[in-house]
Amino acid sequence: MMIGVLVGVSVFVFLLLQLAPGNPALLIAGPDAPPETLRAIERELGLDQPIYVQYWRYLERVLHGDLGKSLRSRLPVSFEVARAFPVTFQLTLVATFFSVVVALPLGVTSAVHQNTWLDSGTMFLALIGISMPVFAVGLILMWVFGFYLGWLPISGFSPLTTVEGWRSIILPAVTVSSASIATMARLTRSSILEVLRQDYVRTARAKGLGEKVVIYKHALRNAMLPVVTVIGLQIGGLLGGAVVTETIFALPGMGRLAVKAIEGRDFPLVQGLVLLIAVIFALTNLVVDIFYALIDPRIRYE
Amino acid sequence: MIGKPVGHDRTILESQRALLGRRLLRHKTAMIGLVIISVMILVAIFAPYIAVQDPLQQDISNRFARPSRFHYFGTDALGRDLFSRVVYGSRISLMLGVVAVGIAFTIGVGTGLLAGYYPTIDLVVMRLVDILMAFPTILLAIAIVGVLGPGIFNAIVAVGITSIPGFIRITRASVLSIRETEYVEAARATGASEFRIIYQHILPNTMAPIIVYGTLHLSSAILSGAILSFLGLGAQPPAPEWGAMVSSSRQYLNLAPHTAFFPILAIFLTVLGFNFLGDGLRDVLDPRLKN
Repeated sequence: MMIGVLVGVSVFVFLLLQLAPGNPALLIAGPDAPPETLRAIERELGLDQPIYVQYWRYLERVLHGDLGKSLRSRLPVSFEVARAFPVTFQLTLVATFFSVVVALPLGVTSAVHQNTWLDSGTMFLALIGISMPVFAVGLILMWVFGFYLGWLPISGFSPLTTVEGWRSIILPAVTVSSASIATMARLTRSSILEVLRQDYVRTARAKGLGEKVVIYKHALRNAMLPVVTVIGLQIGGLLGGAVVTETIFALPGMGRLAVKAIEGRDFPLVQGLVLLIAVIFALTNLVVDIFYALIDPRIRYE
Repeated sequence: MIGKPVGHDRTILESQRALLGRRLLRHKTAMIGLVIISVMILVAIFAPYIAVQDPLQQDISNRFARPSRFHYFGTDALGRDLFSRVVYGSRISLMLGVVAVGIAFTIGVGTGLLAGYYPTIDLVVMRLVDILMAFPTILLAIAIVGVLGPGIFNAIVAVGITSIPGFIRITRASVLSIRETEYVEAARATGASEFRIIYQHILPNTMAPIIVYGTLHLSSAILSGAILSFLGLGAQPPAPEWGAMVSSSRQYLNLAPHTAFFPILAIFLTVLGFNFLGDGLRDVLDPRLKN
């Protein structure tokens, strides 16, 4: 199933580039190149072959880890991506952690105090979070904490092994997580509300368990399944948010690389990045599926 | 009573619609959303009369003016009147959202109907949907614009394409549940053609969740459009597009935060309006979805 999707993704990414206007050979050789040079480059790139042969060769190369060369830097795409990946990975990881840590308690509180001001207040905040474009959140945080209060750096990236690294990732991570905090909190709330109506919750209350035990042991555990699904789906959104956020905070990650590649019409780099992000996204969803079985013993995969 | 009066069904239908309308009118947040959106639409239509000056007219001697009674929202780095630019920006943002969702709606609902009704088509379509869904939405949009080239038209196409899978899925899901109902069986028994069954009997009954989804999706389409423009992939300067305006205000953020504030406020209010209305429509049209 997943392999099928990945093959489909590779076809899509391959075709995407075929749709790009202009002849790749012309891009490499420059506009004044004589026709013989063009034909030589076409032959070298295999552009004179039928499209399915071209796709097959592309797939072969990709499976051997060869994503082509960047038109701009002349470096292998895999090298460029390998350099940018850790930044995006760390940013997404910290943002995911942050979203879960903030969103779950918010959702639970909201559900437990359903129809009180606490509930409507939280949900109103969540709606604001969903309606804010990620770049707006980033710029507002940047202005308040970077310029006005001067507490945190507004750009740059250092590895997370340093204090400076942690200081510089706080604002971007909060920015990336803002939208998913809102979505996750809303979903946790509705999921808990659903579970609280179940018989086993009534039983737990009837046998005199404390409300905390009922909520955190009986309700939250059972409410987690849809929440985990959304955490998985949100990772796509978080990756998307990372693209924009990296541009705002000048982080040298895959997102900024992609935007630069598009501006420079660096198609091999764009193609490699898109393929890789899709693969990462698909793998994440696979991990989420496996995680289900761990948290819900009722689910077993054949 | 044996002989039903002629037009009985119609009366029921109309009174049902009136009931839904009344319920929507009583829904507070939905009404707030409707008011916000109506104001935005009016602003977009009457932009030339509301704007105080040409949104492209520069006045370098008057850069970064603070909001005042001459420039309600102040001026930007080139001394252009921000109020006028935000007002004209509503045209681009609303058009982008509506056209993109319109494209996705037409293609998505059409395909979803066929996929839900014919299992063989379903098999192929759902594989394609899986592939499109394998990309995070905004990244897919960025990739498409990346290949087609930056620009407002390509941004609309990109947002439209990325919105199609959602419409296919939601339409297909409701067709699957309606296909087996008794009234569809009855229609089939009376010899109605498949075309007639799909368009006359199934389509109208799938509309409620699609309308809710479409309204909520307008907000994310407008957001995506603004993000593309912010990244320099959508509307190009000097076009007064909200995302692009925020983008160009970035380098002067410390000096003149108001140049970012007003376009952000405009995006936020518009998106909030569609979210409010969508939530309200869902509560009214499909109360089961409310938790």
